[in-house]
Amino acid sequence: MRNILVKCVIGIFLLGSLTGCWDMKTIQDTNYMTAVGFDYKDGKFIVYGQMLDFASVAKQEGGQSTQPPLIWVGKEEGATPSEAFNKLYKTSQQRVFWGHIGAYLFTKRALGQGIGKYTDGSIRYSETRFTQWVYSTDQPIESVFSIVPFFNVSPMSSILMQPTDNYRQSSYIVPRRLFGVVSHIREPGQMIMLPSLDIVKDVWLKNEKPDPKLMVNGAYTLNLHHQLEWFSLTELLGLRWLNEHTKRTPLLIYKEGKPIQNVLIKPKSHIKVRVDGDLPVFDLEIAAATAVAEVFELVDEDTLEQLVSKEVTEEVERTFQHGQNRGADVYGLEHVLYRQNSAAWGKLTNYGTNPLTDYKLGNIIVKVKITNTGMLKMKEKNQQY
Amino acid sequence: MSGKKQITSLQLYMILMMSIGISNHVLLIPVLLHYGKRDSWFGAVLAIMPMLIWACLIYFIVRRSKQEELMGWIQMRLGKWVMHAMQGLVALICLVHAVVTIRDVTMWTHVTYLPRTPLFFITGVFVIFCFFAAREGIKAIAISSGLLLPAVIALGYFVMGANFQYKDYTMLTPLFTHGYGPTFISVLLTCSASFEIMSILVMQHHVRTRIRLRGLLILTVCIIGLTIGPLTGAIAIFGPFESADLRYPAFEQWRMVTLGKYISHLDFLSIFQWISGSSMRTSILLFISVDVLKIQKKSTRSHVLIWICLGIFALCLYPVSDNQMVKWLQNDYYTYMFAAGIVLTLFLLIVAMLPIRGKETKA
Repeated sequence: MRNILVKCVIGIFLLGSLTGCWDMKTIQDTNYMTAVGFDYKDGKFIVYGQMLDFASVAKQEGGQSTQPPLIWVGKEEGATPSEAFNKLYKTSQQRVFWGHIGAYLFTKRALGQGIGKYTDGSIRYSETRFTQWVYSTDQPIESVFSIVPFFNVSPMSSILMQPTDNYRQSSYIVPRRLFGVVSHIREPGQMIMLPSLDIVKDVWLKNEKPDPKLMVNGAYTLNLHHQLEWFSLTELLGLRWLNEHTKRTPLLIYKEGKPIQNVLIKPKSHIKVRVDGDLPVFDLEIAAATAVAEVFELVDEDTLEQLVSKEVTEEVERTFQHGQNRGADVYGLEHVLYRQNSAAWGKLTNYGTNPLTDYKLGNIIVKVKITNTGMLKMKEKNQQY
Repeated sequence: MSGKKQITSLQLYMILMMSIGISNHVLLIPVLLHYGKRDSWFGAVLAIMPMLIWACLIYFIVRRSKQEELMGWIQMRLGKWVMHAMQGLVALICLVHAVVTIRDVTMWTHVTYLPRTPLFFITGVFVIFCFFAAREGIKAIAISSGLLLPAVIALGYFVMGANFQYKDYTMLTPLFTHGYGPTFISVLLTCSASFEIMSILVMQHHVRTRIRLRGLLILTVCIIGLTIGPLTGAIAIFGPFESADLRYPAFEQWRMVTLGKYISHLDFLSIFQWISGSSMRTSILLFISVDVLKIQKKSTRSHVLIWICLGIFALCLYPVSDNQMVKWLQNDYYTYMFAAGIVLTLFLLIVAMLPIRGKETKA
């Protein structure tokens, strides 16, 4: 009997002591950082932190809010990024929680320092994870952080923090999460095309007043050799055909300079390298599952397949050429060489100390397969009676 | 110790899956990645071969010792002093493992989710729990392992499945870019960690059903599989170089889990996995270290256990930085354990092959 009593007392004591947990953080006493920006100027690392009003983050009953979301952007600088963050605490009033950061945004100057200098501190910290989206921008970070998506919803629904659905509908440059950036940047010869964000003011009007929105307008090249180049979206059109994540990408088909059909393609590519003496040659094979989306002028399937194949080949070659002109291996072909023939890679790059310079594209085979023609038949609409 | 045989061989395997599984997950993988990089997973796969042969040798020893108490068997064949030396060695190995396990789990707890809770408190609570489990005996540990293991395995498959969206298994190749050395070291490391299966020899007398060869072989494959899974996962997500830099590559995979837009931050589930594995491991190690001393009286056993726990508690709080411990694990721990594994196996094989003496036939 006495034994049971003692056990009960201990149990009650233990249960009671749970509420006094040392690491208890209450929601209302915490500031949640939602995005972090990095810049670099005159030897100083500048960090930006974005915080949002909870009312605009959480879904509320009784319709959406009529107020635009409240956005705070803080800025501090320091000799290292972590020092700048520590300075940010001085004005943060409450404890800052970093576990819900959705995106990292880098300026060109920041990227020039090497991305590792910024990510070390945040990866090392226990609250942050590897799932944030990583972007670059040439616009002021505070402006990018303050862009509101439609209907006064929070910036957490913009392409900065939720790019996947948008990308699935129209795939050009694949959005990157932090783990993909840090793992690929350390792969020999790999090239990361880090999407860059631009603010577009003249597309959408809100009550006839310009309403700025975010857009991916190109990409910066990131690799082990810190070779930083920016390419515009038009220059990078070929990139989508070699990316495994491309789900649905539109292509306008021309015949003799006239637009005839619009197609949606889900490509699947395979690169094979053969080393010709000391020159690696990369053969590409792209299987393009094509759906006809719009018919301006009817052509037979064979012709369409040929035209699609020609267009895709040209885009791939053009992007490759743009890269070559500026000495950037935009397709990460050196990595393909490393993976498929690491002996040749070791010889040609001195085990990764020099970037691969002499290489070329070999045969590009595009196998087009028309899968469907949408909700309409592939047929001329003749006048009928 | 009451002479009762308390558990079945299945329960024994569950204890081993828990206790070796956790160390192969959280202690071994960082070391494998450090030495083997991209080739480490292949080394772990290759290790299955020698380990299966080795499991047959263990089975041979189990059969020759008639699944009886190992120390008594050694005493019968080689005398009292050899037995005492063995007792000391086994207890020492258990204590080293226990200290490493506790240090690792408490430091992880402190770094990841309880940064403001003092380390001595985390360690204290953990040691007290394991003390009670070890005092209660192997049956209690077996039952709790049996309850915890299915949940731990289910969560393991969950994290594997949820992370498929991030995995790029092409990163597992190219192999052998630095020759065959890294693969070979990975084979040795995996063997070294899996030699712990030998602990069934000091627990076999508690098992009332027969330990079968088939069971041992399956156990070996499972335990090495427990290394291969998160190891390939880490390489496929973070790449060989970044995962070699991570302090807790297995845990980091839990932090990646996101299901759609609204479900993320599920890493608290790994706390369950990690704590159940570590506590079962520490409890069974404490149990073995006392059990092997063959103290008959229950109160004396409890007293010895208390002193062992206090010693472990002190060793765990001895100020050695985590980095130093990682270095020690990388440079020394697995080498010692490999040597100990080989020496013990050979020794026991020799004992098993000694001609049967007259005394023994009578017994």
